[in-house]
Amino acid sequence: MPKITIEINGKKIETNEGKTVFQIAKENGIYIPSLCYHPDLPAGSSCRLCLAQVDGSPRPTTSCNLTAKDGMKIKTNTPEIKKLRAKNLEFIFGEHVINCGDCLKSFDCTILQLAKEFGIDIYHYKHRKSQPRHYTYGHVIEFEGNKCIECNNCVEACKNQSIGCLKTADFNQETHIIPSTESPCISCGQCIVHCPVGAIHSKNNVKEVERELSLKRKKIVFQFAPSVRVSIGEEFDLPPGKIMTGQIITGLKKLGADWVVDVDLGADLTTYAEALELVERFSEKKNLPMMTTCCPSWVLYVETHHPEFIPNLTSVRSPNMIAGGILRQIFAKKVSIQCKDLYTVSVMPCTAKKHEINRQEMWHNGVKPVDAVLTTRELAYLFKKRGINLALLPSAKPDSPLGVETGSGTIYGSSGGVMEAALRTGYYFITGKNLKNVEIKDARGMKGLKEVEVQIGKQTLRTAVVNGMENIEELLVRLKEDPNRYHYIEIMACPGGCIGGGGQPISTDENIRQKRQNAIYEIDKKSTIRLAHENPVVKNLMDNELKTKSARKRLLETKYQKSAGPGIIQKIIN
Amino acid sequence: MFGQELIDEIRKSGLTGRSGSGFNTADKWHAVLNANAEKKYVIANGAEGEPDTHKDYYLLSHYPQEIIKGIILAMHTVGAMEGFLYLKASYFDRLQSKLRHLLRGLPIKLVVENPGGYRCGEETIVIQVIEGKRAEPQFKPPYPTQKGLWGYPTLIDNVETIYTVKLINDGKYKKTHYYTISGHVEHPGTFEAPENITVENLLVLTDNEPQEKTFAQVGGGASGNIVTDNTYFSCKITGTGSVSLHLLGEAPARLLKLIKFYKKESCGKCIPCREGAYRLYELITAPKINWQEIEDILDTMEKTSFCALGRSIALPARGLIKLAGEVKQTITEEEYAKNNN
Ligand code: SF4
Ligand code: SF4
Ligand code: SF4
Ligand code: SF4
Ligand code: FES
Repeated sequence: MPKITIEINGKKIETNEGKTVFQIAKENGIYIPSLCYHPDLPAGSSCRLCLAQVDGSPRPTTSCNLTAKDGMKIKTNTPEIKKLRAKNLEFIFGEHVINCGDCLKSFDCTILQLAKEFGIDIYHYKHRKSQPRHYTYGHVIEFEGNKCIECNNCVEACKNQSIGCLKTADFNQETHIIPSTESPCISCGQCIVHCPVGAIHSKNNVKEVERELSLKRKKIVFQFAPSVRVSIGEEFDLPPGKIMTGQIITGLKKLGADWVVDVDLGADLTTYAEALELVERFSEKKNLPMMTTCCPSWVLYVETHHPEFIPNLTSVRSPNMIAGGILRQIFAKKVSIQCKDLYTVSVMPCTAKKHEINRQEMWHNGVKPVDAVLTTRELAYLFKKRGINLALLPSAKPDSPLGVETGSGTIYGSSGGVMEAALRTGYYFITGKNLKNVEIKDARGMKGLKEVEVQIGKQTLRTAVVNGMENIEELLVRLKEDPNRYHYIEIMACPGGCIGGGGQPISTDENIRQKRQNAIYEIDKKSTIRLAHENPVVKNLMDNELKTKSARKRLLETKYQKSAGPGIIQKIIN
Repeated sequence: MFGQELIDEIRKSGLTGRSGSGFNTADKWHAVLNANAEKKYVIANGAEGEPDTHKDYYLLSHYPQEIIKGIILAMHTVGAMEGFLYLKASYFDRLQSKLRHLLRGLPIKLVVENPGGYRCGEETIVIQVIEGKRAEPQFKPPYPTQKGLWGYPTLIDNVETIYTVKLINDGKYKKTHYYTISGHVEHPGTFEAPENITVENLLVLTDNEPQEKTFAQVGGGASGNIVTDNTYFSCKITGTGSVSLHLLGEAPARLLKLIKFYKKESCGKCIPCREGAYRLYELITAPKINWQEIEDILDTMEKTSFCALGRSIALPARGLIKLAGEVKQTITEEEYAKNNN
């Protein structure tokens, strides 16, 4: 690639052609304030904060969409630029209500930090939207019109997800973002992680969990998902990919949890049951390709956008729902309490899990397996609110008898992990032997659509792994060309899988997701248990409490149905 | 004549875009001709969004055949198989049956702007609208000549530019231009007159010399510059070729109208224009006007808006503010309040 040399604030920089000035500055540790730019999305350049003055240009330009040219001389911090940025920031506050109460960004809010940096009066203009609209759409997504600065990032993020349920509309000379029912929202939360000002969020369950923690009328058990352990550190200024398993357990105990268990157990049970089903459907050639259902957004997508695939979905529940059921129906008995006296909280990288726990077909006599879901962000917020700095906590082990961290369970947090775990165990079920090398490298990595073939005895199992809904279209094209192309498909709605989930810390990008993913496979590598069928707790459950078909049906399986989506609730506030 | 030969001829004439952009027409045509692509498009832009400007309408109603032939000439020249005639909503309503008749059997589609308004004439927005998307400007580069309609190289020219090329092709081009005169004058209308004429000469030529103290907005009723009558003799008419005359005392009202116009026309994409225009309106209708704040906002809009629309308010607004200042005793709070509806 041809090299160019540019000068930023007097510093000479040699770099590759084709990058923006903003990118180059960032790579070289030169700070340029920005709000609307997100590396996952095309530059919308609407906030006009990332200004730069190019020598010889009549006025400043935004650096996020300015491609660097050889010899360019740029200044990013002239008094004029500072003044212009400050004005635009004042404008931004004219559209964003300062209502930080339960805003998850309040401990680390980008615009408030910018306001301090520029010393502006955030109340300089009074809030101006005549009729801010609040919406609840999808199952769990909430939009606050009086905080939205119309940067369009959520619209683009949702388009990236091949859903396109958000659009820009005009009402009496004002621009507003509105959700639509034409293409139902799948609750993936990608709009949330791309919003710079916290105007979109998922239903906030922090308060109700806090309430239970303080009431102490029930025993409280927390379970946390694989990918949370490699991302939550970011909320405490640790680098992405820092493994925090032990600190999360200590922190949750400090909050008042009676027990903390690892969702890895649920994942291993999912793997076990799903591998059994795969082997059966594969040999009977029944409803192939079989498709995973760990991702509730994908399930919603099938039910609302492509119900013709419902027969392809595996009947096995997600780790979250299995683990919840085991806790309440089996674990509770073991510790001699009534199942209703247990309060179960799942900590998830995911906003759609908040919907999953409300799917009644998985309840037991009206009792939910999981009472509440907190996202990674919500848990971090709760820790901060209670003055708990996760970075400084000692490590602890999950509570037995349910919780061991396993490699096969942890890799569920990354795209390809479900597939890899299922293939490890499926191979064993068919051949009676374990794979020589359990690492299935083709299933790993960030590529949106991966194809993996595994030789099992004389047969070849053809599989596909998809992450990020944008890659669904390509999958559908391939399936249309040849419906028999695959036997088994894993689909995760978020980029990179749950490590890029809609409930994860907001500062997400390709690089951060990659680091989280690396950490997941690091854990797998170091684990003593890397095969679900060798997890002693799984074996024990399958031989005892889950021995009968009816018990398995009750705790491990579920069903799906065609749906038109949940509609939209609108609230206009004055 | 077409192809390179015609482009050479256009170059010799020195023709520049008649939408007000002043871009060299031959360069533009050349870029599309040279672009390597399986498809190309030509769009004749008759959105004419600047207030006080009606020359495109005049041409469309008097010389539609010439314009259509001009589009075909352009298509032949750059190698496009399909053309579009893009019209302002009110022009579309009035002219569509006539134009449809003339376009019968030709590979040229008649399209109407949506939602309408000033910005719908901006070339990247024209493309968005024809593609059925939201009317928001797109970042350039890539320019439409490289990646335009549906991603293919597209020649997009103002209706008058296309008409003028037809004249050049027929050897009838006499270095004239169409001007619209409006406001406080005896004979408003559209006139053909030599290029580069001064305001004074045009007013004399059209028998429109003002009898009272006036000022003019030249080159577009929104973004056009404000000139006072003691400079009419030296002021060449640029932009969209419009001249609108007003009595000095009308300056405050014109300022309010201007701000209202921008508030309405901002597409809402970027912060400085969307918010700036709104706050200007708030400030100008307040009981006590904070002129310094207004100047700060104009400066921010001019220097940081995404597209030319947001950037263009500062020039006329400053001109009007200066005039309004000269007649300050006559602008009372009530007057602003009265205009505030
Ligand atoms: S949750 Fe997902 S599908 Fe729903 S609006 Fe956001 S990005 Fe779109
Ligand atoms: S909700 Fe957030 S991401 Fe969407 S337009 Fe508003 S500020 Fe931007
Ligand atoms: S990929 Fe993971 S985080 Fe994203 S929606 Fe699916 S389950 Fe949730
Ligand atoms: S300046 Fe900004 S808001 Fe105004 S019309 Fe252009 S892009 Fe839209
Ligand atoms: S970050 Fe560049 S305009 Fe917003």
